[in-house]
Amino acid sequence: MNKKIISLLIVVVFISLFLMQSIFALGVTPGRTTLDFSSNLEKEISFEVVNTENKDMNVAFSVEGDLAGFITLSSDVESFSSKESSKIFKYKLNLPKGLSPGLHEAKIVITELPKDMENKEVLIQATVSVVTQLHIYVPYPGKYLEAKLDVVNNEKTNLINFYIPLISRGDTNIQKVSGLINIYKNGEKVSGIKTNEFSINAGERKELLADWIPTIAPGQYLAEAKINYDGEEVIIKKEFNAGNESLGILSIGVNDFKLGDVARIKILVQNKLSDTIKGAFAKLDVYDSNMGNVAELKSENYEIPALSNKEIVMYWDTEYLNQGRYDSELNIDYNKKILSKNFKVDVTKDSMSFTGVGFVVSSEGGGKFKSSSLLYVIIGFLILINLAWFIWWIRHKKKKK
Amino acid sequence: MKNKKAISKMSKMIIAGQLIIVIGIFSFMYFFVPSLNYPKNNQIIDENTVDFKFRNANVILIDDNKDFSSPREINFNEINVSKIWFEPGTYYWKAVGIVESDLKEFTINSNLGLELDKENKTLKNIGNTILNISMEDGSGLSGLVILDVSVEYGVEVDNKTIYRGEQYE
Repeated sequence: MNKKIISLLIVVVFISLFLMQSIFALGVTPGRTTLDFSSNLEKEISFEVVNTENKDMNVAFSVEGDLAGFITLSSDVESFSSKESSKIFKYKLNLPKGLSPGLHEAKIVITELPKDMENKEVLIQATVSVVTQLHIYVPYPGKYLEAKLDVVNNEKTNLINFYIPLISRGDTNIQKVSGLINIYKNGEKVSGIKTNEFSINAGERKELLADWIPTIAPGQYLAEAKINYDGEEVIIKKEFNAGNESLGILSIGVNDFKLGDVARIKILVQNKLSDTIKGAFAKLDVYDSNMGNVAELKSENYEIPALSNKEIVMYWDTEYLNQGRYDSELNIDYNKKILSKNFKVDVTKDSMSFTGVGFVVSSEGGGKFKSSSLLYVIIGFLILINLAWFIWWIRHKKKKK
Repeated sequence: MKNKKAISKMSKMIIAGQLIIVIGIFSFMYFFVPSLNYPKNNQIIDENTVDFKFRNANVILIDDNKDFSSPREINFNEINVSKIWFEPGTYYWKAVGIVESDLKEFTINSNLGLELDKENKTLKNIGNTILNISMEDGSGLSGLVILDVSVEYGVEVDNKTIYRGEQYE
């Protein structure tokens, strides 16, 4: 009997050891540090390595990239004990007097090694490494603008909003930036919209905007934004879908629910496209009030016929679930896009209900007073009252005389 | 004598009037002007969620631009959570009550995490940012896949390969 127990224990220990070694995991934060170039800059930059699996291990550090020669690491290998969930490390950056304009990069590569190993060159098994990047931007001489184009279908206003975030990467201020967005379908221009205009200082970040009321049939179009800055031009292109979202969530709910059972969650989705959507699936993440993950649910893959509705089903085992109100995020993954909605989930003994919540995207900058402007108005008002008092007092004094 | 008394009375009235107005301004500022308590200006946050703390307002505007040209509006009358999820990046926020508050800046740090499960032969992005995965073996470094958050990817593990994850874009 004793022998059997000992054998079982040995098997359990072996299985545990095998499982322990079967997962290699590593984390680092931040993933990227971005700095503007400064001649002869000396700086210590810290990063945190996360021992995700809380195990005994070594980590090896190495540097790559065109800035590698300007970086000094404090050590090549460091060890973690299972009690150390994370450690903070630093590297020293010593920049030269000058660098060529544009982006320069260094990569600090952190590789997980077994506890007894100090050199990744002698590794005999697969492992993981993570990178914390250092990006240094050197301003271009003169005026230089970096731009990208974002297109947002605003279902509430039936407008298409074009946002062009800009970063002035030159060393000279730009007096006037404006844009013209041309919309094309199969190579033919169907519309043109002007953006707002403004000045932008060196190193500053601003956004050009244009709203468009689509007068065209829903479908895929090409937007070409020509951004003019003090006589120079940047052109960026992006394909976008005009019209309503191609997929909509019509309802979400659970029938005949009893706490402790497996809940059958039904999501009714509508395919608004004239093509069949293949391989669509739903993911529902449920959180408690502390943002702790309560459940991660995923459906099977579905095919949703053109211009029709389809019910997507997910199952949630509620054996260990308590009554209460939870937050959730539903993502429908389709055609390499994600439709995302937030819901409140109310769970009682015999019901589970979903209430819609979410963000509103506003294109208005807000027309209210800033507190600082209001303060100036009040101070001005106070001065006026004082002045009125004073004039009244002088006149009163003269009258008495 | 009467004049002096009148002047003295008037001065007292002026001081009282001033006092009332100053108290009024401070009361207004305290009770009606929104103030932002958390996140503080230039705060760096290692989590993806932010628990906003402010007073004298129910609506906040958040944008990745200082000029709030495309803000996300969050009305806390409509949702009863104050923790909001963000992608890594730098954001600006202000509260809107009777008047608008000044703006503050905060940064959500990108947390990279990569897990190699030898049992299931999968790589998983366990951080909060999209990863560019490459593989380093005897033949050098080569690109493998762009891996979204929480997504798994099947790989070969019976070799000396180092799977490397770094921030994408």
